[in-house]
Amino acid sequence: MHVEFSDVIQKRRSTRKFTDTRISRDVIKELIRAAQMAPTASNLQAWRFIVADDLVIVKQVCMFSPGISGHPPVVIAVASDLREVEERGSENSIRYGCMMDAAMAAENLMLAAADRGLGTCAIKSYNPTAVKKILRIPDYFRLELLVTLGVSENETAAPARKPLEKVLFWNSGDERNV
Amino acid sequence: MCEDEKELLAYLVTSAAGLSGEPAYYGQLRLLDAAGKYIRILQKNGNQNAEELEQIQRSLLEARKCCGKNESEFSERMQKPVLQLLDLQ
Repeated sequence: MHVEFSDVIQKRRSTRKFTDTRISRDVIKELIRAAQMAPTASNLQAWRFIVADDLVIVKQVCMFSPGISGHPPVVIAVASDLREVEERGSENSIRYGCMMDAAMAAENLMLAAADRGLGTCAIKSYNPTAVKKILRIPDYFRLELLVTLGVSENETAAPARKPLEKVLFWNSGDERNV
Repeated sequence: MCEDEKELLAYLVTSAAGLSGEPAYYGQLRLLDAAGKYIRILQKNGNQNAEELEQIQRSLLEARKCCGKNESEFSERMQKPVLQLLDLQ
């Protein structure tokens, strides 16, 4: 079930309640392929996607991630392989580049999921020490964010967005010129 | 320790560890959610105040809706579960 891209943008929600429907690995692989199509600074492609779909492991991750709610069947940890940075990156890659790349990849993943009628939520409230241990993530992978994935239990309205006039500036960011 | 108790403990400790970097209202959210989890534990264990606990749970969920969005409304709504607890025998 694919929809127009503009509809996908409108449809995407942060899902906080999931059904217990399992998600196939074939579908997850498609979502990761979509994530890989996001741009990366210097084409580093340092992101790594650690997918937890074993319910015991998912439960453990959730236990140490206060930001996760709704019992998702899948949690995807998006990390940056800092060895890539050492080899081909820079100070800026570490400071913000990899995080930016991970966020763009995650957004692709979430939109691809919405396109397939699935729910996701980007999560930053977790204990990285605990999650890295549970998922056996090596030290040289920096955990950037988690994304929960599953079938939404309910449809929610999108939170209101600020008026366009408040966020859009033409040729100058000086608010006095608006 | 049962699974639910372990989850609650992990939730509290992990929240304490992470809250310093998060928006202030997350503290209230975490406490509300922890209270909700504890109520569910009490209900599962067949607590004698089942009806009252259910009402408190509902009041907490109502208050949660304006947590981080409307401080005065949140404060007002929180008085209800506080008073319900006061009445708990």
